[in-house]
Amino acid sequence: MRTPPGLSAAAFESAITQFKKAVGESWVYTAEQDTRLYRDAYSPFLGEPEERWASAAVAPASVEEVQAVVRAANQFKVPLYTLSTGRNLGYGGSAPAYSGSVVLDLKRMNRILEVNEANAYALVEPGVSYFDLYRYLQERKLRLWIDCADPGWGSLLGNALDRGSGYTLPYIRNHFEAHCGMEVVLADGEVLRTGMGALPNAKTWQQYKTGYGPWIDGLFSQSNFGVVTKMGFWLMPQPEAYRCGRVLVRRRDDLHELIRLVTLLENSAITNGCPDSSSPLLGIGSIGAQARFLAVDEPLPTEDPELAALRDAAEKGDPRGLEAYGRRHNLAYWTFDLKFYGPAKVVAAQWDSAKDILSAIPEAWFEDQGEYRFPLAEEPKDHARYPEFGIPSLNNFSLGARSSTNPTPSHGHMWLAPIIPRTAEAIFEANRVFAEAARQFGIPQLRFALPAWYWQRSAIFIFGFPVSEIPEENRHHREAFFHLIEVCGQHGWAEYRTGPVFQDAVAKQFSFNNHSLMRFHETLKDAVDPNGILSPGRYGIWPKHLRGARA
Amino acid sequence: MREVFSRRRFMSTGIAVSAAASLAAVATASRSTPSDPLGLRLSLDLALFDTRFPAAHAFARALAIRGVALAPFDGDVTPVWFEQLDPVWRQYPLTVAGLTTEGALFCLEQLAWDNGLRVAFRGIHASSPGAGTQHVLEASVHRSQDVQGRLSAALPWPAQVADIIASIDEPISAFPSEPEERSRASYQTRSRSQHSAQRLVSWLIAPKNWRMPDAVSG
Repeated sequence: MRTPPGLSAAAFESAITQFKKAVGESWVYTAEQDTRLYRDAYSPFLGEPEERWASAAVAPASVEEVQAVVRAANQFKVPLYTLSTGRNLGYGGSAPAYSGSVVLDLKRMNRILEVNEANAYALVEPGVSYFDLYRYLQERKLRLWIDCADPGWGSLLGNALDRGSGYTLPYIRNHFEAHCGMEVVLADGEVLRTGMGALPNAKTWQQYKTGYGPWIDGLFSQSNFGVVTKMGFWLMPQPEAYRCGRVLVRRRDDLHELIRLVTLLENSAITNGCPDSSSPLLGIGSIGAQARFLAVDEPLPTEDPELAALRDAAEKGDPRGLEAYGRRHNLAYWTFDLKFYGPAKVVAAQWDSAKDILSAIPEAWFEDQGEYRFPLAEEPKDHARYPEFGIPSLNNFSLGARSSTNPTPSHGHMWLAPIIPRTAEAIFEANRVFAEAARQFGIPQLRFALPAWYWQRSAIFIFGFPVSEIPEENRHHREAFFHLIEVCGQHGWAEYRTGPVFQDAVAKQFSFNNHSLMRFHETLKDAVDPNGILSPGRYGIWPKHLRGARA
Repeated sequence: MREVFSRRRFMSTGIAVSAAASLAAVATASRSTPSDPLGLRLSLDLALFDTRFPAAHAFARALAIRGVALAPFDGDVTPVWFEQLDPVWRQYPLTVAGLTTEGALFCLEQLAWDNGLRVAFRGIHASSPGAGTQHVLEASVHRSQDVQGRLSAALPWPAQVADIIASIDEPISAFPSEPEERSRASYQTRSRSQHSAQRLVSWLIAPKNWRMPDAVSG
């Protein structure tokens, strides 16, 4: 058993004894063969000395056990690192931000405490996965949908606290925004409930979010101010129908008006699913199309040499040849898939209305991408639709298999995910910046790309940097990653979320007024967790005794 | 949506599939629990195979002959895990083998951890058109007999690997994650023609508390 830094072996032994008293001997893991299961399978430092490691793990089954563990940790100043299911691969997995921390593993707290079908909400514990809640709803034939991240083995609560996203209605697919009410164990073992949950006899904890007075829920997301032990979520009533329609446009500069109008359609709730964009002429598939492409093991199509040359010219600023090629071959420069949930008559009318509005773009044309009715009569052949239908899946992992279309699969990946403005100008500018970094670092992944549209009013680029078992390759990608964090910051963009290795670097970008936001976080940290036992370093928030000089 | 997964279980294979109910019966049959495993013989209860790969079919046939229940899937391991494994693993650490992609094993291994199971044997089988198949078999150092001198270049490898896995019928130690703690052997076999490079993995997932008796493990 390894000991957390700065702690004597005797003190740690005493803490472990207290943990065992709190949760039972079999739920405290100190053997190497158990603690190494908390390694980040996608660690950017895989196998290197800097890889984050856990000294032990403790798995409580109740709020009372969490309280006892936290109190013992406080007594012996043992750093804890809280995880719900620990499966946010690509963003850190289950490895602690501060090496040597004891993982506070909440997987055993996996009760679905309430599901209200009439008002479409649920109250769950941290260990409840998307699969768990899906199974619960299906077994009881409740006409409710979850909105799941992909893959679907993560925790609702954990993904929401990390501010993850999904694919259905805007206020549901923003997983933190979909929450309603929390229960939190503070560092001293005190339990608090937020929103209407602070009423001793609360009747609307999962129905009204903000309660009374300061709304503090955000303090417990992407942070280390408490251990969230319950969380309410708004769910989606099962719609009668889903429809997908595609708008296609001819010219490079049509992207400006296309994004403006799609944003208008979204902000007006005319389209209410998660849009998806592509560029057939540039060879950029939509997120759904990429999944479909990777799922089929067929030889890559031969690239037309003329098309490749025209793409080069377009990237250098002259798209006319590529646009003409598109006209000859009936290929669009840009497309957007618009998704609609609701009664069949309504989604048909919404798509008609969207077409009317988008027809303002010269030469725009439209393609129906199909309609589904629910409950589904048969299995959707298109696996890319699963998350759009609230069906959790692990299918992503089958897409990474070695095949003709994917001859060199990576060991894993780390996501670089900067938020940018929802404009064509920002997309072109970001691509110019990323292309420069790609040339500098030789990162082929940073070819011209389109963002994803999970969030309303902003766009998000998502680049998967490969993680391999070769330290030199990982070092190279880390350097590029750190560089891009800085570059994004210089342009007023920043990651919405990142793994522990990069959290300090991202936090430093939020430096307005001499880091006043981080200084506020640190003031809070010192007040609510003076011994700094809760997840030190998570999202760049360090307790006083571990706080380095800020650059 | 539940019926979606139920139907998928019977897709694209002519081999009979064990239903979750029969697995549950295995789980509740009169057998000792893993908390008192010494002296028991490990029983392989289920084999998963990815129906997209002929080698996986051959692997499954070899285990079916031995009476092992089969669970086919078509690339996405979700339905097999969701419908068959997860409900049983919550009650009982069912021993499972497979010939799949690494992605499927990656998922199953992590899900198995939560139920007190570990990967106890792993074989990587990387083939490319015209170049045969390279195999790397790994097991605990305490089970070096499972990997050393086991594959013959003259025989089809999927059935041989199935035989190896089926022969692990004694209590075993957990598969160590550190490379230096593994016994490893490499082989080269001839390959049938195939249109693309493939990298498959054969594996055995077993309860972690099954371990070699002290006298054997040293």
